[in-house]
Amino acid sequence: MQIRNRWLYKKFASLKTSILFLGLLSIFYLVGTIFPQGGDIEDYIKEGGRFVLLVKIFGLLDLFSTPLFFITAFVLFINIFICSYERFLALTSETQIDTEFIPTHTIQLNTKENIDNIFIKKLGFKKIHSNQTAAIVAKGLSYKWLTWLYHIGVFLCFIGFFLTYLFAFEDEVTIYPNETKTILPSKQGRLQKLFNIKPKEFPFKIQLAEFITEYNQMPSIDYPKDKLSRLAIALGWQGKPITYKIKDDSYFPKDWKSRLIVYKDDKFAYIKTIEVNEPLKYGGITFYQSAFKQDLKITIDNSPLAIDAEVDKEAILPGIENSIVFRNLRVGTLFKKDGTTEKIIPSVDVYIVKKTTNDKKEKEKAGKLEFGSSLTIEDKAIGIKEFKEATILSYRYDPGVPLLWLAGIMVLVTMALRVYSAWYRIIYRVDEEQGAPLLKLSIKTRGLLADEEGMVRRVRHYAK
Amino acid sequence: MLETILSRDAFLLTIELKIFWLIAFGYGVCLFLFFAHLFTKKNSIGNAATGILWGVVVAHAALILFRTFEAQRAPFQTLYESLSWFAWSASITYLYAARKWKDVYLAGIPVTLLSMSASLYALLSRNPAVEPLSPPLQSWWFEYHVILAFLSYAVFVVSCSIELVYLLIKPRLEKGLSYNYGLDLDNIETFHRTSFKLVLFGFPLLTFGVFSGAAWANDAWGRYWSWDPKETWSLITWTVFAMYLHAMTIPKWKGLPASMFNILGFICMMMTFLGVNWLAKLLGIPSLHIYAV
Repeated sequence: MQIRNRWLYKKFASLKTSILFLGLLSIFYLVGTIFPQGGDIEDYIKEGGRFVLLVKIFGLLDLFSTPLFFITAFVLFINIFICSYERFLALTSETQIDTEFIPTHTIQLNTKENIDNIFIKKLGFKKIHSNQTAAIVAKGLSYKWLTWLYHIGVFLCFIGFFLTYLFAFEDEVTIYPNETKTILPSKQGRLQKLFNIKPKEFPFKIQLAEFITEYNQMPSIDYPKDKLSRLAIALGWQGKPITYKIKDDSYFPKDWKSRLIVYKDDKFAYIKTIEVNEPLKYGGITFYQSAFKQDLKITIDNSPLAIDAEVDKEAILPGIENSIVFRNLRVGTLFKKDGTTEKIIPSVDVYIVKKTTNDKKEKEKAGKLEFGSSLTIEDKAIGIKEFKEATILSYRYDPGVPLLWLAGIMVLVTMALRVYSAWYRIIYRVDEEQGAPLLKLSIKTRGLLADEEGMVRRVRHYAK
Repeated sequence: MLETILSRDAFLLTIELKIFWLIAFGYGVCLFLFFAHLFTKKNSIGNAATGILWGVVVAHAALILFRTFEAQRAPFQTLYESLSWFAWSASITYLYAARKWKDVYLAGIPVTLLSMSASLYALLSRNPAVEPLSPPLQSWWFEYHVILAFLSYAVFVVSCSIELVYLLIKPRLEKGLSYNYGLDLDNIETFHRTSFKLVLFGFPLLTFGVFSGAAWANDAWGRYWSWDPKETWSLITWTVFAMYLHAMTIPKWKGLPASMFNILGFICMMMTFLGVNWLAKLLGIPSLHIYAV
């Protein structure tokens, strides 16, 4: 093929090109850790970003979607493809023995057994070639094929990434207990966006049967933070013992779970309790337990009319001048240190938002409000009438993932076999010198478990 | 009942910290002895340092088991725990790699320096409290991902140490200087090859670390790759070591250029482990790996 003799093709088939483009990609990665990816340019300017012009020109806040990054990755992709193709051609060509066979070991042959038998039957080698000069035997998985296979795996990973880039989309949905939702994504993959294909409603509905929040009781430690005090404790100069204490707010998230029911054509189709690390996969879409939303109905001075408030957001309550923020609504089950569990009495921390002189806002804790009791703020008694928790699910469509799983396993398995497993190739012939048969051989090994000296010892043993 | 449990936990933590201080001191003693060997050129001192380091490593292994018992889970959740694991794994890898060397002790200096620094950093600056696993960490990926990724880190530490010793001693040998700390023209290339073999050993582990991290992120966060600073730095480390391994197959690049890639890979690895937290904090970049600080 003429193309293989061209300068550009040779450059693409070169390992130096691989190193160069791996290096260039590293520089991209490095820059991507300096500038907040997915950030907004206005926020960047507001926060005093110093490289506004560079950020705008090179799209540094979305670096991994820029044409420059794509071109660099694409060149590496082509480089891997051509190198793999060249390696494949080399692999399928016939093994040749150097006419100038240079043995590295000479062993006196005292056995009457056929030398081929020693290698093949006793040592488990496979004959791969022989001619008048010498014979070649090999043992173990071919390192060349393994090397080729994990490069193909990397090549497939690139395709997987590209599929993700083109087609993947993700969005969020909030569902309240016993609510059934039809989902119409507001986002779509890059390719669909390019061709202006409108997102379609999923052909199934999801119901939240139950939402569960669980907490661990987490004691806090009484141990100094400064280095000198710690050193003093270590040297025995400070006698205060280390203690663990349980405080009012010793809650540490244990788990949050959503029991989801899928309905297709208004009929029950599937049920699963999902949690972090345990998503629901249905109809090509994966639903993840992302977060939760907490809502309150607040009463003022026991009035029957309740005000809606969302946890972590500012709320205006009639008769109270400053706005209020409710935080850390605790409901669900507490797993205590002593192994027992208890139902948490629902409570929420209440903060008053005050404006400071320089027009900034400051939050001041007003107290803890428990369900069934009240808290007085600016002479108004506020109470919790009702509370509810909704699950926030993120969902994602990503056709790149199955290919990446396959490619990832392929890379790992073949790379591990290539690096760790032993491979031997022995070229040998039997010469007679002064009437005594001598086995001359050269040995090549690959893999960290290969033991060249050990193999020569074994050959010597059988040659006795 | 609760008070008894809290007192017991505090007592166990006090014991743990005392032993950990002794271990940090042990690494310091080894470092001092390795330095003493550098200046006195006495092999008996290097030998003593190696012997003491074996003792410290065994004690540290016991401490990690103790922490596992104390926490009732794998001890890799917080940076305090990771630093302890890192210090131990680097030292044990060094001892394993050094078992065949005769009178070569120089690589012990950077390794024990790192082990001691990591232990002191954990003891002086991190919160040693035993904490329960947060929901994202409650995954079967947790143990495999962390153990293998950290094993690769340990291997890269020792590889870089050997590389530094090689770069230091090789010119001395070429100049024909008489004492070269157990290395001569006959054994220095075999010694240097250990560095390559270590990277070769560690690279699939790092690859597993990157892949398993992505698979785990896919289950926990719904996205296998978010260009989070920690993820990106692990990819940089992987890429630099891939460059090193490729450079080692090019005869002209086998010498200094490959050595430079190896050292750069180590620097990137340290960035992934520790530097990225500092960088994210400095630049105000949010990180999903916030629990690792």
